[in-house]
Amino acid sequence: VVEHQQELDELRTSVRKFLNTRVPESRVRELTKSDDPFDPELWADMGSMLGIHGLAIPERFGGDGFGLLVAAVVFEELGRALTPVPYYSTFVGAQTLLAAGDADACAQYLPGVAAGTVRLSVAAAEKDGSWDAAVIKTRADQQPEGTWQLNGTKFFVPDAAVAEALIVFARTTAGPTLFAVDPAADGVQITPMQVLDATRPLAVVTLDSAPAQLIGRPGAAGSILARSLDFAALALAAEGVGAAQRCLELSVEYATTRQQFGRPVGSFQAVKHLCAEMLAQVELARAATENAVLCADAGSPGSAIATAAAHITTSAAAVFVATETIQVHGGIGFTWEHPAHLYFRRATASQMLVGGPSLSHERLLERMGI
Amino acid sequence: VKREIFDSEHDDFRATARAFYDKECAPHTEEWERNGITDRSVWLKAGETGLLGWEAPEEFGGQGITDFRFNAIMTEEYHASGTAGVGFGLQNDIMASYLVHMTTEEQKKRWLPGFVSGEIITAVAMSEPGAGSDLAGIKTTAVRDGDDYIINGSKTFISSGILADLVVTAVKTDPAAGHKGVSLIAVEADTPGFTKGRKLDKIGQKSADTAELSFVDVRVPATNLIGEENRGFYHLMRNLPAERLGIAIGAVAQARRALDLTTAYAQDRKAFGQAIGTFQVNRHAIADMTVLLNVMQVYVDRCIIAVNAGDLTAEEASGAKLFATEQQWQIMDRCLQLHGGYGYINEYEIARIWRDARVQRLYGGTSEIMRDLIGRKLGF
Repeated sequence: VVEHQQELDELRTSVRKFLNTRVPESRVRELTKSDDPFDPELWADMGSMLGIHGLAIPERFGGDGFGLLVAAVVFEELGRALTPVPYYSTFVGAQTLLAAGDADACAQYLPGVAAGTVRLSVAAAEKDGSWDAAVIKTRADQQPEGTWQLNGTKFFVPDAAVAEALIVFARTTAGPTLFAVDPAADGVQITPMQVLDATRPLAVVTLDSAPAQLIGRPGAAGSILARSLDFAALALAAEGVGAAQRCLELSVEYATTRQQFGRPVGSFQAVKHLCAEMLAQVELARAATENAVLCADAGSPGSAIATAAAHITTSAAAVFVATETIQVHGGIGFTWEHPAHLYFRRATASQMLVGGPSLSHERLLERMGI
Repeated sequence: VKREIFDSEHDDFRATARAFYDKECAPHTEEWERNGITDRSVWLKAGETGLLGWEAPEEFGGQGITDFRFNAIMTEEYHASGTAGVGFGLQNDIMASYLVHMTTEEQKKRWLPGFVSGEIITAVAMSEPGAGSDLAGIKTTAVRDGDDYIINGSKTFISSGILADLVVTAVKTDPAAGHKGVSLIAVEADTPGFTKGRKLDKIGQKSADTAELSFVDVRVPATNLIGEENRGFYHLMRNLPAERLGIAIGAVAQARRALDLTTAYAQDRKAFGQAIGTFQVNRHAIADMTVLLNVMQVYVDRCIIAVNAGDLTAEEASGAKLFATEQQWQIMDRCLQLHGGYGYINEYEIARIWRDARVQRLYGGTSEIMRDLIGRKLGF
């Protein structure tokens, strides 16, 4: 870590500066007024000016070949700024393709991802929201001419409306299998969901004899789903650290300036100690996430456990810190004008995104062999 | 919040109980803690004062009163006075149910006078090394032999196990029938083959004699059977609401003792030139605990009225026990924290009652078992 620290710091500084300038809170609010907050120009500039679309794509597929440690910096900053871009969904999609090990599919999609022209989104969960291969009902059937068709309904698909390809987990007679689906194809219907967190649009994707391209082998996607989930969890954890850190800063700033009874409210122990607890939670989340990222980059055997632990820790910390940010701000924290509710929405929605805390805990226990 | 469940007779009883604890028990707490056991003589004095077995009919020395408010008062003043270790709660809250309400005339004659006078200290032996709340899994057996039962097995975690003169023992009289093969048989402590084993070394409640008991070919007359043969499980179940409510009452009372000690400490103890209670976090903590205690008290008082009316259900009692003991633990721990380093020093009462309180979430069924019972009753 230490040897790259300077580069990581520089990356963080430039991403933060870019987002502060290009997508300040006012712009986030403007973009999220509609169902589709996607800003193509912003997305293009994230590639041309920041060069972050290909960070975690291997060089042979046109990327920079950096590890998750670098990607985590970007996620932290995107979380901090609540930037409504399909970076998370595309990242998870790309890593899922890499995990599937299908070189043709990677060559087809990943150079576009690295160039910023292709966005992806993984459609794994169905109505109950869990990422569990055993409960996938969406069926894939091979046609006489060898092509595949999908039938079923996927829920909670992030940024589906702006994806060039949907990476879909479906069921064949061989078991869970991965497919790529063109969202513009006949038989694919994308319906926006009413969501708590408008900075991350979610959609219902209905597949009605939708043409699909097989990724990898039929029946091989059970373990890929677990890996895909790990990438999602890591990205969400890093986002959560950034968002929680920002909430802490907002709270401390307010507590040190807001005067009541002739003194800053932060000088009252009840507020001061709350801020201290928030800091402890943020640091815990940061440590857990950093550990998980390093384990994942090193391919260590405890990686899946570290990731599950980081996801649980960070989700809980982000919800706690966002909730208490509202409390520290008193009445103003409960207003539409204040950003506290945006962070609260993000934290709550992200915690539920890949199945929620109960399933996350089950997953951790399962990975620990309990 | 003013408590509204008591009449003047309860107030008089409370004064009697408090005076007794203050004079006969609290001064001995340290000595009893050191010895790991209390003194039998205090039982006789309690009997003389009318603090034992008032549920027994008058002809056997009792008063024929079944009113759980008296039980509550005994427990409350026990904690308020700083008493430790004496098993009056077991005798009055739990054992009376079996010995007064499930016994034959002949049994009443044999046991109740001593039960009321304090000459017969009683205990109930349910738990075994391999079976706690899972009563159907007990292994101790009683085999009928002519006019006797012959009992074999072992019991553990038995409160008052060392001092007990009479042990109501849960046994299997039909080992194949699960919970439908359980019976309750009273065993006198001097019966050959019955031995009191190790006094268990516990985290807290050091002066309470919790023991292992062993039964090797213990022959007792069939007339020692309490209630009906093979109905023991149901007899035990019948008493569980009162038993669990008793624990909830203790939780509130002991938490109140902790808070009283802590409030006084927070006024006396100075740091950075001011009483520590005047720091905002501490002031808020004491405020929170005071409010919580009021809530607990109102809830538990309501349950006391319900148990008197006979309509406190098992799951309601489980809920009261679960809530009161979990909240109690939060209060105990916070109170100890407010004592700073002194909270960790046994010289301070908070250290002892913090240790003593830990078992509240375990005995009478753990919090997890309570949740399970409630959840199952809700149909899950």
